[in-house]
Amino acid sequence: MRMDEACILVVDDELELLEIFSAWLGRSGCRVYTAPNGAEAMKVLRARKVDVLLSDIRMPIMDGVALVRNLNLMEIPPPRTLFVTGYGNFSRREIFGLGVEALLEKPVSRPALIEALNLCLLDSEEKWLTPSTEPRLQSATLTMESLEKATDEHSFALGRGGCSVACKLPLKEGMSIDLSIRFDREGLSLEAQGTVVWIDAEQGKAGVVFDYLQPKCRQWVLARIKTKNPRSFVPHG
Amino acid sequence: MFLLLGFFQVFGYLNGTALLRLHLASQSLIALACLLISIVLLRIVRSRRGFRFNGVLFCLAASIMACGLTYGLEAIAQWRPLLWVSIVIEAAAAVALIAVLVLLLRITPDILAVPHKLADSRFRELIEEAPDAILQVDERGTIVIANRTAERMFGYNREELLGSNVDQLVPQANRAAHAGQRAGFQRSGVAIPMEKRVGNLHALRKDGTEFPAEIGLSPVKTDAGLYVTAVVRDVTDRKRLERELEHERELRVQRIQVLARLAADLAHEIKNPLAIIHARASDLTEMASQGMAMPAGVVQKTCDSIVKTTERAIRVIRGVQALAHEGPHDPMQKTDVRGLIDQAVELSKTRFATHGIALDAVVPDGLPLVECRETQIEQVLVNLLNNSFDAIDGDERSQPWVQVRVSTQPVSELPGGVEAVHIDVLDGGPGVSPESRARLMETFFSTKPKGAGIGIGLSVSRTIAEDHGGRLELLDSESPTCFRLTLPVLARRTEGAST
Repeated sequence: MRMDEACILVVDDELELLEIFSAWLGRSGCRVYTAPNGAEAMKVLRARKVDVLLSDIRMPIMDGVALVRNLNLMEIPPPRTLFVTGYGNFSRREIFGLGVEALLEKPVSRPALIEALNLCLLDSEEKWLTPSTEPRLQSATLTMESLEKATDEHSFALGRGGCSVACKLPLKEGMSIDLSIRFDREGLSLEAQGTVVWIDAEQGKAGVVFDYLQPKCRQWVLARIKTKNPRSFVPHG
Repeated sequence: MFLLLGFFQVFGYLNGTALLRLHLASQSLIALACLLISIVLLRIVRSRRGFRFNGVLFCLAASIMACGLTYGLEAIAQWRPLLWVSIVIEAAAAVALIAVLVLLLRITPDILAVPHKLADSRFRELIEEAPDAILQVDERGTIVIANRTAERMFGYNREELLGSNVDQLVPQANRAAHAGQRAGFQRSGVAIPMEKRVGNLHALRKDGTEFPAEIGLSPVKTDAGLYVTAVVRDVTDRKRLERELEHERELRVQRIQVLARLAADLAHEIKNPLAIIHARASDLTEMASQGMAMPAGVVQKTCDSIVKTTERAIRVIRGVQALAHEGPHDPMQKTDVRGLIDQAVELSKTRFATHGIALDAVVPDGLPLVECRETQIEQVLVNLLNNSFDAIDGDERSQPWVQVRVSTQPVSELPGGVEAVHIDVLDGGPGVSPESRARLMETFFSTKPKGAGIGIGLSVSRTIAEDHGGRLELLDSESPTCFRLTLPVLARRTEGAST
């Protein structure tokens, strides 16, 4: 979907920021709705079709996390969601698990916001076409007995935009990595470039958003996402 | 002997027969006495095995017996002389006496080391005036020794203590268990040092009051059975100090937690204005870089927004500075609650009156003093009154009244049964919604329109209350809205204590 075809709902209790974001998005040709809190946003979402939800996290009456939780309970397919926040006290793992696709930190520049929205509007198969030429900071090569067993044991889970994986490597949030996982029984392998979005050092788990998938694994990954249809972007794990 | 006879003969006072009788009787008595003395000595040696003077006592017994025998044989020699036997026994006596001499020389330092009577009394005083109570009990738990400190510590005199059971010094609740523990200790017979005590021990005074105690036990084995020496230390003062230190530590931890939360919240509250300033400024830059003509009105509006938003960020920072600045530096002072409330009401009453809102305070007489930083608590009260004012003013559902109500209550869960003063601020406002209720004390959370309040009032107030060892809470009642400030009465806590 192109920017100028998209309908975007911006939610923030900071009215001046609402005004600024609306103006920016309007300049890119989007149709923009605004709401000052989660409760008002729910009203808009019930009444209109919205492609992307751009929301603050911390707001009175209903905050961003509660808004996404409520959306997940609704019948209608939820819009793609981005959070823009200045607040630091939240669980990234929970947010990506709820289906949020990106977290932007305030202050955010117009180009950065537009880029994130553009990426968000792409379909998965389009997102994962181009490999990055930048060097990766860490390379994780894992072998698992079987995909089904790993899924049952929560050592691997696939979301709409990435995966959570049990991994002993010293990863850090924001780190770009090469991820290679072999599933012996099915003879499948996952070869990806990704960005670590959360880590749980205690459980030895990490959440990774895919930036690029090798052509040979793209098909089975997309097919699996289609059949399982997970709500999470990166599973909670 | 012959010398003695010659002596009597020279003086010629007594005739031969009487003299001989006296001589015989004396010799017999000496022999008998020597025999008996040596028997007594030998019995001592037998009954005190391992006694360090046993060697010399044994030799002494042997030599006295040998001497006694020589006298006895001499008496017999009047009728039947046994010269060679006498000589052998005399030689034995000589040998035994020399042995006594040698042993005596060897143990002289030991004998001198035995405390004489003066040292003994010093030793007794040492025990009597020891800083800890010292008791000794027999196997049945009957007290057989008690020092003067024990009399003072437990409030009994010595006659009352001696002969009574040690269990009576244990609080009623623990008495049954104590008898069992005592039996267990006697079976194990292993000393328990003071610092190895388990749990919180308490002892009971004669007047029925209890005190925290540390107790050390050591077994004393004697021929008459097992005795137990108990050393009891009154640790009331130390416990109080420990409690005070613990309280201080809790306050400090609480304060650090509050400040950590504040730092996280501050970041959020500063980032919003920064996001606005950043966006406005980058818009200007973008337009300028594209060579766009900018209408003066747009430039002014954008710059106004930047200035206004910067000022808002500064207000937030000032509020936090005030919070960080105040507090730990000013000393706490004993303060009259009524005076505090009067001042807060005085500060607010004109504003309330001009908006037609009734404001009054109900303060009972005889309130204890609270230890606080007066300006801080006044700040909290004014803050609460302002919140009530804002809730009522401009809301048509409200009834226009605000009341400050004071009550006292014992707080049993705090150590020392601290009594607390509750200062309730009630108002006829529309109440607080359940969603807001949960988040009300969060820093920067505000139900007022943005700009009307910066939202640090309640969380600052709560921090101040917690810093005073108290709390600030919104009571559960739906209507009227009631914020309760609780302040501990520190003055009463130390009452009766030595400090």
